[in-house]
Amino acid sequence: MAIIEEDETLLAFTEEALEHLDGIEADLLSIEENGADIDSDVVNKVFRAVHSIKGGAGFLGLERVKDLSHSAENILNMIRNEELVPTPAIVSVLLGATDQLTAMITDVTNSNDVDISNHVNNLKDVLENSVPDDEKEDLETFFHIGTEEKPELFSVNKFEYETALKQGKNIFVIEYDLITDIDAKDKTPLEVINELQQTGELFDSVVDVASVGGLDSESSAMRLPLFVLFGTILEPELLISFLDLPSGRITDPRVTGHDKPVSEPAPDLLSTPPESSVVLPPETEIAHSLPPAKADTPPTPPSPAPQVKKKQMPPPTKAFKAESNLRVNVKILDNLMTLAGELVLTRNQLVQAVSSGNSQGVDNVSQRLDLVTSELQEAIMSTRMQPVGNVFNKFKRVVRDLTRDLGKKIHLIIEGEDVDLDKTIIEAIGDPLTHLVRNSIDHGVEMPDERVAKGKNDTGTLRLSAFHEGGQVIIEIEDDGAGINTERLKEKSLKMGTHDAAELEAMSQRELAKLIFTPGLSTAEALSDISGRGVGMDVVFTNLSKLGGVIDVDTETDLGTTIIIKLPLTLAIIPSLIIQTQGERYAIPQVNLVELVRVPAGQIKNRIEKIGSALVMRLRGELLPLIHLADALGIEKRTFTDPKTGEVRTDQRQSIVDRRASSGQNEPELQEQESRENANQDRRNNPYSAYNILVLSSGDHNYGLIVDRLLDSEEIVVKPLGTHLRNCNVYAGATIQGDGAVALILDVVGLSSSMNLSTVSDSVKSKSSLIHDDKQSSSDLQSLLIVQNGADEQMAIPLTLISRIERIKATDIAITGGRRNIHYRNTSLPLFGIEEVANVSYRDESKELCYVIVFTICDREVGVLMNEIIDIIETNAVIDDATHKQPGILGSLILNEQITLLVDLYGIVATIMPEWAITSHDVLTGEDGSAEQNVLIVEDSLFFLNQIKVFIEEAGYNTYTAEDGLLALDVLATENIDLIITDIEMPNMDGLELTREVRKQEKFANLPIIAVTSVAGEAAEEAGRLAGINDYLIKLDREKIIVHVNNYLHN
Amino acid sequence: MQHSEHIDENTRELAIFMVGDMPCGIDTELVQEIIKNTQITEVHRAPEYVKGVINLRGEIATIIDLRKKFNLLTYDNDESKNMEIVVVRHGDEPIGLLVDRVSDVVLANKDNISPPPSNVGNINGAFFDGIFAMEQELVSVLNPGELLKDQ
Repeated sequence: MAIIEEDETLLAFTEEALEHLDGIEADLLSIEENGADIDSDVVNKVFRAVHSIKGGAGFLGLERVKDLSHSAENILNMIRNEELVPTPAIVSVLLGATDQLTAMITDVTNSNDVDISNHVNNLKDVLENSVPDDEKEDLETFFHIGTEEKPELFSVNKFEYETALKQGKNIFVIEYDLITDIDAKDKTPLEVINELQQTGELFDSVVDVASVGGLDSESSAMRLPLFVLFGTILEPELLISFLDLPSGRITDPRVTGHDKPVSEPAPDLLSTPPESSVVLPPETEIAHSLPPAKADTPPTPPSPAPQVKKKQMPPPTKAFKAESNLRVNVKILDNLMTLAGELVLTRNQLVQAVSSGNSQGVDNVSQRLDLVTSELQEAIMSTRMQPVGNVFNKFKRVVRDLTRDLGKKIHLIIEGEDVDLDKTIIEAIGDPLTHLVRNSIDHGVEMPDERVAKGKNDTGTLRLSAFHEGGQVIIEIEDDGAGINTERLKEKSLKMGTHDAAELEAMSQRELAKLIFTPGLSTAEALSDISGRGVGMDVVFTNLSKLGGVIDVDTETDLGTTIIIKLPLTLAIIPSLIIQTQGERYAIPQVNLVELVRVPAGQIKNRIEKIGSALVMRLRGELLPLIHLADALGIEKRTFTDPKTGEVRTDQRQSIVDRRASSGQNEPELQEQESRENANQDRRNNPYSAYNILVLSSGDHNYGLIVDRLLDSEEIVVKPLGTHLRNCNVYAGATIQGDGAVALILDVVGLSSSMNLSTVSDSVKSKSSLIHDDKQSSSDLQSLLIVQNGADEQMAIPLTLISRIERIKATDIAITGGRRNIHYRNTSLPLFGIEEVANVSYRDESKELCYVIVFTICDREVGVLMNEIIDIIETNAVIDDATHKQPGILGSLILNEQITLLVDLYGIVATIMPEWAITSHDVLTGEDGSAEQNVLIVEDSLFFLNQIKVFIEEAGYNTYTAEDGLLALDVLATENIDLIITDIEMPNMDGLELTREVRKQEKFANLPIIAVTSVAGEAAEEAGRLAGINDYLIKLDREKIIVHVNNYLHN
Repeated sequence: MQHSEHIDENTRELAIFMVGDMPCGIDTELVQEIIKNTQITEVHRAPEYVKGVINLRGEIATIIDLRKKFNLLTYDNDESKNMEIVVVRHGDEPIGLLVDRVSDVVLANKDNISPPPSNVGNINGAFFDGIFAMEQELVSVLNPGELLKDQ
């Protein structure tokens, strides 16, 4: 059996066939769903698709494809004629057959070696079971049909033949000449076949190559006949004119009497159909056999023409890859053409401007160039965009097959199929999504009886949706199943030792659910074929992370699970940060970048330390593992920029954490550490010696990367690296810089795994959890900004009170009317210094730059000057409100083993400008009767309790206090309370619980309850509101608290 | 990659270049171009024989250091600045072979090319296609397919 290796025709066929097949699956599923209630449009569509594959395959000599599509077509025909009801079993057989067809057409050159007997037999069984008994033998009976000269051209199954006649069709043999009828008319054979299929039923087609050799026939010097057995309801005359053929090409086999029935079954359908004896020699040989003809009729290009041209091309060795071609909307192409034209124009202008030395002109052109390039980039990117539906629609089948296997009932909803994503991403998310969908079906949605027992509908719902949000695409997989059993996850995690009990206790529901992405962790009780083998979810996580995606889980017991995936729109052009280390430039994708931290040389000792062999940094109370990029890349020759001369010299010190040296030998390392510190002495105070640390997210953990310099943030074009560099997992690719040099793109995940950071971060985690532990003793966390004003005096300001921080030049401070201020955004911002009210060391005013902490008091913005911003810390350290208390200072606390003064921003202003701070007080005392009103303050921290008590009393109210919710309920029962101010986090009974209890009592239904907290968040506020809290305020924001209290008690 | 007219079936056109002090040759039809003075970006953590990558008109080409690949003497940086890059295609990707200098293009009679011994010096014989006896010296003809396979 041979294939006509005609590249263009074959390629066109495979492309078209795959396109047909692509849609078939969804259509078959919808046919199944409709059952006996047939939607003839859909059935016809599928029928035509299979039919046209059969036609094309027959012409191209793809026997197995033809046979299989033929068998499937028979069934579809019966469904179409409503002779057969498409049961799930039948649809399964059809689906199997179309899967096989897809596989064969994808690897079309080997399709004739594929064993399809299984599928054909299945189809045949279906057919036999559904035809009436008396017609059964017709299935086994074959006719030979042919023309006068070639009586055995075709072999047709009697059943099909009879069916066609029953439908009132005339059967003809049509003879085309590939050269004069097709090639000369600028048609392709496939077009002709498609044309025929629109007017009737094409039974079979044969290219009669044998007659090519027989050039003796005087009627035509050069012929390549294509015979088609065709059934149609058209009359011969009409058909002739319709097909635009000379008369005599259409013969009626019945009239010429060559349709003799054969009693014995025709040769096995699978092995050698009769027409296969008509063999086209392989390409090269055909070229040899053609020359004589060529010499005779030079003007007529022999057909199939491309063969001869292609002779020098190497024969295609690989299977055709359909994905290597992309269909592009003509509008986009037109747009691209226009832009290309623009680009040419711009170039001409540029050439002109440069040659005439017109610098203004160059400026204009460069702007234009910028514009055209961006547009061009956008247009080209849009050609790569594909609807996510291409992936989603595949799940119809997955869901169908799985639910059948598992005996579950699931309704699949697909939304946002037309959301576009880059082709590469579309291709890469298929597998992870399949895994997630399988998981939802297997573990998520319960068995129907179980669902009914839970009071749910027996049919589960699985929703796949895609939408745009903030320049990203969000894909959600939502089921209404049992939810993830977080208790079991806890147990498993504990057993596997990935987390300890205290950590697990501190985790939110969402964090717990995310444990399913831990390698080796599965909640499935029994292993199933589909999922639950404990592998996979972590792979899904890594794969999506590689794409720059983020994955999140939201689950609730018995309500279901939603998996949320955020993906970038494209991977080809990515925003990135260009950095430099040891004089070499690298790019880091911004998706992985969390923040940039600069540690001045003087603070390196305090903030960077060693745990075992690993370097870590303290960042807002967390320990962050650090790696030096030069270490990670194994750059041995170190250089540094000399602070005095600016020249580059070789660095004497060893790498900071030299892992190669640290394996098993600790002592040299200690020395190394010391020598590093000695080396540091010299350059300690130089800006070049500061550490630039990129905080990077590598999926499950963050780490810090030390680099020499930060250069720029750029959009870069990602280029792949060659095969020799495939195993370098520290790089994600390369890009070409503006100057033409190549910069490598760092792979954030690869870097971390190459330095074994995951294990390091685990040990760091256990250490950080120790830090967490003292926090948990009282779970009231304060975010504090740590600042320095005078020398060595550390101060803290509650972060929540600050509206913003400005860095200003000392020379910009103006003194007007004895008060300092700075002009800022057309207004004047009054500035205060803490040393003006409190007995603290003076601010060093010789410094060129200082910071202004801006906050609001009585709708007025004011600033407090500070010399240095050190850090932001979350702490629950006990506040001592006695020892250091004075105007402008609320109290003190110990942070990082240092006494830290807690700054009272309001106190500073109130002391210097009393008239600004007490407006609310005046207003209140002006109105009498307010002292009759009672406010209950519930707060476990004595410090805050006193703070709030003082300013509420100052505002003219009576106060009662309670240290937790239970005590508060007692007070409420005995006293006449008009308003409650409560903390959220408290022992015994927390603020939410208290509120719920209070609201239960009818008389308190309208009692105003204000929650005060140190950390506000939307989720927390939402929870508070649900419990019945009226307002959610910041603990030390006395202004707001008083305003709200006044509102409630006076309106 | 067309054969020029004067090459008949019995000759091969070879580009001759030096790798260290070892004369090597490669079929000219495999050579895409020869470049000099280009900036090579070092790739740390790459296999030792990879010198780095270059920008070849928008494509990233891997540069293979033939001296390293053949375990010959290494060179200092000044020396490497004058070296040339023979760009060949390996599958879909361009690969640059870093050589000391390209000296000549010769027509080699196939009769003068003998199959390679299993070892050429200390180098794996599979890297070579044959040994061409040129006037005074023996030229090792490279077999890029084997040479450029990644390990």
